[in-house]
Amino acid sequence: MQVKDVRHVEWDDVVEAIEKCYELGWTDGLPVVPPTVARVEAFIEYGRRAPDEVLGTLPERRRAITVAKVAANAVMAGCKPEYFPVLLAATEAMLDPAFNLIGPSSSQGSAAVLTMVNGPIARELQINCRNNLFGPGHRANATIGRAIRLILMNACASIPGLFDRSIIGESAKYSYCIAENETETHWLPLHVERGFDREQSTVTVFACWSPRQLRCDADPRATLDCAADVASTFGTSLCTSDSVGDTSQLVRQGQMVLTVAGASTFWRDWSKQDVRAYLHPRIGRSVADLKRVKVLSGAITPDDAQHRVLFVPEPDDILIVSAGGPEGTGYRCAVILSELPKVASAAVTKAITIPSIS
Amino acid sequence: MALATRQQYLLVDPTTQPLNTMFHAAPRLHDLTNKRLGLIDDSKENAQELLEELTAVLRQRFGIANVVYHRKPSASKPAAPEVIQELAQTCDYVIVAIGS
Amino acid sequence: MHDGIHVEQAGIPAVTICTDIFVETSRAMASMWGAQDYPIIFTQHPISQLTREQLRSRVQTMLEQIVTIVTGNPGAR
Repeated sequence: MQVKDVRHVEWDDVVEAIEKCYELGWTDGLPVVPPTVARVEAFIEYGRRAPDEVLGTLPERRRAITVAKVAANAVMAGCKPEYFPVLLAATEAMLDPAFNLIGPSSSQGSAAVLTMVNGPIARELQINCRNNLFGPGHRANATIGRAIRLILMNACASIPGLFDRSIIGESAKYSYCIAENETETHWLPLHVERGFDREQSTVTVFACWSPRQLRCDADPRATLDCAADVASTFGTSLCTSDSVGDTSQLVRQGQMVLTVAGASTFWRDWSKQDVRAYLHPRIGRSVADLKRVKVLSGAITPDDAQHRVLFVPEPDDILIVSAGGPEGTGYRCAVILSELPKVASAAVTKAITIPSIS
Repeated sequence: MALATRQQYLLVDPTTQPLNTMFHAAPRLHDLTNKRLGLIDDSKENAQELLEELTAVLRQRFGIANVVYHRKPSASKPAAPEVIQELAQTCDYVIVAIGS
Repeated sequence: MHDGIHVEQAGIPAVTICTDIFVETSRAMASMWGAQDYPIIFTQHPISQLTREQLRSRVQTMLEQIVTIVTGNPGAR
């Protein structure tokens, strides 16, 4: 195998090698595992893909992203070779035109990329889908999420300050990877709803902000009222003059993800479809409110309080994922809002190809 | 002494370089008098208003034969190739705002 | 500013107006496209809150640059 773009370096010990990676500008601010040819080749061998295979292009930055580049960043993130197929599929998903990577990776609005894994591979790789869902402690979550950001910074030139023009940034940009808890719920998994077989492993990428936790323990309906309220607050990415305030286009609203813990008993009388149907009309604000904060322009008229603007295009644009500690805590949810209107970037799901041993 | 203990490694560069590309600027116009003007509005706030004011002042100063206006559905996506082609075929020059 | 570059490549001059917080980004982007000297009119940030009046005087300052870019000649008519 011939991996290209190699640099010859010398070091006395591995800590020096880690420092070298800092000097080369390859890190996210945290120490990385030096991407030696041997380690990178081990990943590529595992994935059974050619190192020069182009996974996709980012035409605006004149970039082609290859299997080898994904492997180098995966090594640096601290991934195991078994995580590599997830990252290949996630990279393909980010380079899909519907995701429109140039948007979320350069916008001033600071998008993180949420990576959600479904199917058998999530269990095999032990990607956490339960307690402390978005928090530290699980290698698969931490390193797959981190690899995504390194791929963006290094292979996709999403360089902070230069091409990544985020103003505030997001802590979720460091790492943002979860799996769905498919076994402790009666709900259909996300990937099945999006058209894949249950036994097909998939990855879904979504350009968004950090999760906003909510807790409302009365009952499902009250919980969803809280979720709708959180999703409808002023100042969110769904509620801007660029999104719902731009009335020149029919569809400027954005998607959202709702993670729901403990989906089994608390939600026994509700399907994901029921949840969507309930939430969708409740996420939005009145024209009066939107004019008050200048998302819509013009003076407030008496009718404006009666007219509502919805923030999410369709109920199906609310992606629901059963995840988080399941023990009797069905009311623990997180609302995750798209950073851009759906027309600018939409969630994309791709099948993960598991390398076959021949 | 230190040299004897230094290990040598090859690291795979995780970054990419832009693919080489040749850019050819279009031929310039002789003047702006009574030309067909194309406008690309990237849908950011005040882009349309800026272009309207520009059009008014260009019309006043030089005259404008025709205006072809295109508003992009999203500032984050490049204008569709068909739009670019149409503008190139029906206009003499184009103004894009607010590009970033 | 990819749009401006694509229009030029399609055969007619394109003037790109950008706010001045994007100077470095646009120049780096233009270089990537082999168009290091692609002319961009940078205008003071922010644009989004300007009134019509303010926009009107802002565009006056751009006229000379537009003429220069489109004709390749400063001061051309």
